[in-house]
Amino acid sequence: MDQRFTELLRPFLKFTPGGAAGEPVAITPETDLRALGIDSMQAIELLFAIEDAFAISLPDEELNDTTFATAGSLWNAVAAQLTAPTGPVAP
Amino acid sequence: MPETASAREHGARPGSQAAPPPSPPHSQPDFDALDALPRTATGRELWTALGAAGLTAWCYRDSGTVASGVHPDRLARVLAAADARFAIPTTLSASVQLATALPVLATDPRPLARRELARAVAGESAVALAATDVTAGTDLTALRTEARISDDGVEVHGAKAWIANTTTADHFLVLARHRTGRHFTHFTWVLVPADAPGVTVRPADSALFGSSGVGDVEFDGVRLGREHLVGRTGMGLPAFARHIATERLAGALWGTALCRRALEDTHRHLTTRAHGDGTLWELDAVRQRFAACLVRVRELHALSRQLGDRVAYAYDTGAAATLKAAAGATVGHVLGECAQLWGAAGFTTGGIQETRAQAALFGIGGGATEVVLSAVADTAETILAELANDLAGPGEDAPACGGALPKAAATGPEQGTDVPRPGLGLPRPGGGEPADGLTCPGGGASVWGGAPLDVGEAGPEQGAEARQPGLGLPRPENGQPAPGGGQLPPPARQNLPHQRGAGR
Repeated sequence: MDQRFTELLRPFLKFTPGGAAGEPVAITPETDLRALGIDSMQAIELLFAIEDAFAISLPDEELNDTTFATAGSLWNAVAAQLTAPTGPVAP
Repeated sequence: MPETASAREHGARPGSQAAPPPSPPHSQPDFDALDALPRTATGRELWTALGAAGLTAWCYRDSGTVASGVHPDRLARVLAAADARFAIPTTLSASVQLATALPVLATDPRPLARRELARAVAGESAVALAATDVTAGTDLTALRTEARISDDGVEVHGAKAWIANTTTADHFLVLARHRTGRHFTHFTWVLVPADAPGVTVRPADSALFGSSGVGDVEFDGVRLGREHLVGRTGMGLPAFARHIATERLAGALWGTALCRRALEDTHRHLTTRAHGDGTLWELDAVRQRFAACLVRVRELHALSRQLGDRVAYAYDTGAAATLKAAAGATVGHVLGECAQLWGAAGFTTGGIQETRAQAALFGIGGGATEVVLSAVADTAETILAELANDLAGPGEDAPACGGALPKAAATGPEQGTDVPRPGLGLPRPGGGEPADGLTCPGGGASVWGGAPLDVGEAGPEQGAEARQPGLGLPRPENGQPAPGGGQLPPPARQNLPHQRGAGR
């Protein structure tokens, strides 16, 4: 996963010590986003943050609970847009 | 300027309206068009007048571009002007369209939405925001209204309750689910013509809010083309979460105007009502109660000034919840005190007691006080960090809240980071996962058009807000935000990065 992606993701994970005392928990593709504190409102803000940061729009078919289940599944959806023929949204 | 995700709620871009709205006034609008209406004007009559006079367009940035967002000062002036002339239900009718319905519609750049948006801005049509379902408004992700989407079109089934503008709207902007389940991506907006086959409207049984057109609406297999889908499929709740924040800001702005008006009327009453050798105003007990109300309304006004731009320009949902909570409490207190100070005279038709009853809306619609307080609680660490930063003063390092704040959370308004900081890494009391499906008994229905609940699942997690500390932005005359929260001297306001969402 892209480091920029994990750095963007980390502040949303309320139930990890990342950003607080102690060593940050490693974010892996298996990291369960819901279990680590991303509720609906958090996920909405995360979605906006990702689309802003990477200048992409996740396609409608990727807007589902499976995409937002783990860090890996979300990254896969993001990465697919970054490598898509149209690429990121032009500034 | 790079396109942002906000603008991509459905690929909307500033300037995407179909036709230019009526020329908005530049800086000093006159409200003659409102003066021409009777005091008993309905919400629809007010909406028509606002649009025809260009006042609706005037409420938005970038020369009246709805997709750019509201101009908070102008929105405040229009709401205050309406409040000064008409009853609460009438102003409600316009407020919910200005703050939420039109901005949601503006997220779609396609021809149908653009055309209807332009008509609404011109006051030629009215749009009812139909979010609250027949299920509890506090449990938005449980809503039942369905949008069955196929290659051929969309079919809407379900019902909405206590929706402002229901009996007068030309279109319903319907929040519906296109999948089962509660996930936030399972919801989509549909623009439903009020005269479409299968739409049935019933006025609500309400003596207090009739002029807002409040009512219930059923959708019985309403078949429409796919062009009636508004925004990206699956982005219904994200769009709602953003724009209900503006409605909460509008509630605080309007609430301030309402309290001021009620206090002015009450002051006039007290200073002319004979008591002994003088008037009621000379009684210390009366003066102190009145003074306490002045303090409360000043607090609300100051809070609106401090947080308003964070909502209008950065969609800060935590700031919006704070404003909504404050508005509900302040309006309830001030109107209650005014009603008491009026004595028996307050019970006249259209008097302060009637206004007080209608003003209870401020604690219910657009987010019940209990719901928005839960959302404020979710931002506790951020609020404490911001206060610590403010108290530390310029050039000082703020003490970290609980010793656990990430650097970004303590940087204050001047830093203007674009990245939301939703969590501060602090464990919740009791820890554990949020429980889905809880409801808030204080929620109730939303005649503001939006559901009273944030879209979070439930319990402590419900309506968790984006943490974007440090976005208090002053507004120069051009309406663009200048970071610094109004605290920086003019030179420091320059050359600072605009905040997320600014200028769109």
